[in-house]
Amino acid sequence: MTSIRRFLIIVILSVVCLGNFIAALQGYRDSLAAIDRIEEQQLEEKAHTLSTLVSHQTNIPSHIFGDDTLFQVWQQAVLLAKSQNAPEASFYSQDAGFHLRSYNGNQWLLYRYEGQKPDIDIIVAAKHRVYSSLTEDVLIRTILPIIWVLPIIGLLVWGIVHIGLKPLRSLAAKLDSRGANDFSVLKKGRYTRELLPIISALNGLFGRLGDAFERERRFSADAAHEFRTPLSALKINLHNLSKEQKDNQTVQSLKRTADRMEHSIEQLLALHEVSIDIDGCVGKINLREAAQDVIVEVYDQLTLKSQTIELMGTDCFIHGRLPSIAILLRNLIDNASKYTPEKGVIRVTVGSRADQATLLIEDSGPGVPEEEYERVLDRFYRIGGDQNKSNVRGSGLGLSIVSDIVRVHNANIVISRSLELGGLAVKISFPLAEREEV
Amino acid sequence: MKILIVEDDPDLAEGLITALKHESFIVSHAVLGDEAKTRITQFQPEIIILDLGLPDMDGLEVLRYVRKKNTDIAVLILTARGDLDNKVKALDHGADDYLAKPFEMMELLARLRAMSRRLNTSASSQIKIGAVVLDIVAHTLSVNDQEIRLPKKEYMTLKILMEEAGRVKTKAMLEEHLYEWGETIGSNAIEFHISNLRKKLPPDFIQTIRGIGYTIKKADASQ
Repeated sequence: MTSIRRFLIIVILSVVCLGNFIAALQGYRDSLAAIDRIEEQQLEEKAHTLSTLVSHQTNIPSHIFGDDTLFQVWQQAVLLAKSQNAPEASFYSQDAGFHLRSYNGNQWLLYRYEGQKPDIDIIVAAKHRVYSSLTEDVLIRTILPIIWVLPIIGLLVWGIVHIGLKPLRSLAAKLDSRGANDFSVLKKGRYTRELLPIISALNGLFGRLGDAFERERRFSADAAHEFRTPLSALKINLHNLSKEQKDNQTVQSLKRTADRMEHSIEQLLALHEVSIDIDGCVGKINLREAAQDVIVEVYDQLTLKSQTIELMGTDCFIHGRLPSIAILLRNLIDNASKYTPEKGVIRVTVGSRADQATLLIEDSGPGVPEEEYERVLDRFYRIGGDQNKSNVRGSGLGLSIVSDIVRVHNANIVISRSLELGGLAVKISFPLAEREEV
Repeated sequence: MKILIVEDDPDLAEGLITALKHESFIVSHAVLGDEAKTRITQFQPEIIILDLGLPDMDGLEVLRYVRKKNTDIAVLILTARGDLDNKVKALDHGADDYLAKPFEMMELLARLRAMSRRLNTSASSQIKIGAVVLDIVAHTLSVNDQEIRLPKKEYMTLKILMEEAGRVKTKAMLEEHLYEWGETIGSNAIEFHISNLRKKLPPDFIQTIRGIGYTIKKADASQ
């Protein structure tokens, strides 16, 4: 049953047709019975007339009843009188009463009447069901209007079902217009009794989903707090320690370890952030401004390696979630900076072409061998394994998070070699958002 | 300079206290929001380093309390929730600065120095980068000990860049700062000020980051 409305229309129209047909059939049979009774009464009357004529010894004219009726009057084995169309031989062989008999290619209803005078037998027969064609006509006249009316009934049922299904439609519309993160319960008062079990079930589901979603969200915040606060403490205490013991190698090594841990934690938190990113707070993002903000934030890091960064291109807008896009930009720029030697160049270009917004991040580093292009997007994959010859420590999560974000935003990512800078070029194409909607 | 640290994590608080004392700040510490409120009255801090995630109340409530009582205290927010909403909310509530955990101690110290200069309580009211010295109190600029007169908007632009040397300031950020100080800004005004400043400053002192904004390199050892 793909549609309640179609199902109801078909079933109701079928029932109406069937009912109508049965009623018409019953009517037809009743009409036939009534006609038979009338025929019988007429035959009885004719027999009585003949009987009266016989008893008065009157000569009976052979065409007294017309062509549709035949009669014979017998006295014992002598035929006293007969109609023209009646046979010479005895027309009956049965008892008194009504009988059906074929003669001359017609059905005849025959009535044998034993007259008032003894020994007189009167047989009257009339063509059976002369009026049955009339009955059939009446039948068709009864049924035909119903056939014309059927479409009207169909339309009416369609309308009534439409009205009847209104609560269901309004529920569907309400569910449809909900935000993906809206888990508030539905008010029961507004729906019909039949929908209440559904509403209850939905409310239960919303409750559980909302709790799960809230737990996820809280986990993100809690995990962030539980990781970042001790890490801050660790870094500050290391800072204090290095003030006291300036050239202590162990302290320097500890600092590097803390930085690596910080990086991994940030990547894991970013991964979680992206994974719970169920199209919450999606908005229009100016890719150029987002890139600008991220570059401002990471600029410090770039200056440590005396790298130059530049941003080219014009405003272009995409649909997305700003935190995710910021993580994407940050990871790509971090990555470029990490694998590009000192005094290298990183170039970020944003632009739009046709219905695509493109983000291109290039660097002047060594790039990635062509056969590794696919695998660098895998989680925890690092070129050359942990013995990565660039001497850069990483978690191997950065680009896989990027590819997750790319997937969520219906974008696509292409890795190649930068023609101008010679290093890695990562190009991401997003569906362009209409600018007028801003 | 008196700093009140409101932070519930004992290890972090202790590390902060040690580091700040080492930088010659006078430091007091509160673990709870309520404790912080009484400490503000008793200790009379000039700067508060406020953690947003306190056990007894939201850090923003402490911030509201501070702003209701005394608007002169500078508040630097620390938070583990590094999202943009939090940052905007904190700044809207009247925080002067915002730092996401985990942070570099050097970064925190730089922010505190900038704050204390703004409060005019710093031992040195001067920002010195290479041969360039900007006096925040006297509103003067000198290059190679030569005093140079600066129009107000140029002075402000330079001050923003020097106070946060090492960071990039976008055109929009600079415009916003000037606007906050009640200046009207025409289009291309920033480019105009920067170009004028460059004529008065050593070559390459103000660097352009293409497509992003301007920056002044941090002084290597002098700061």
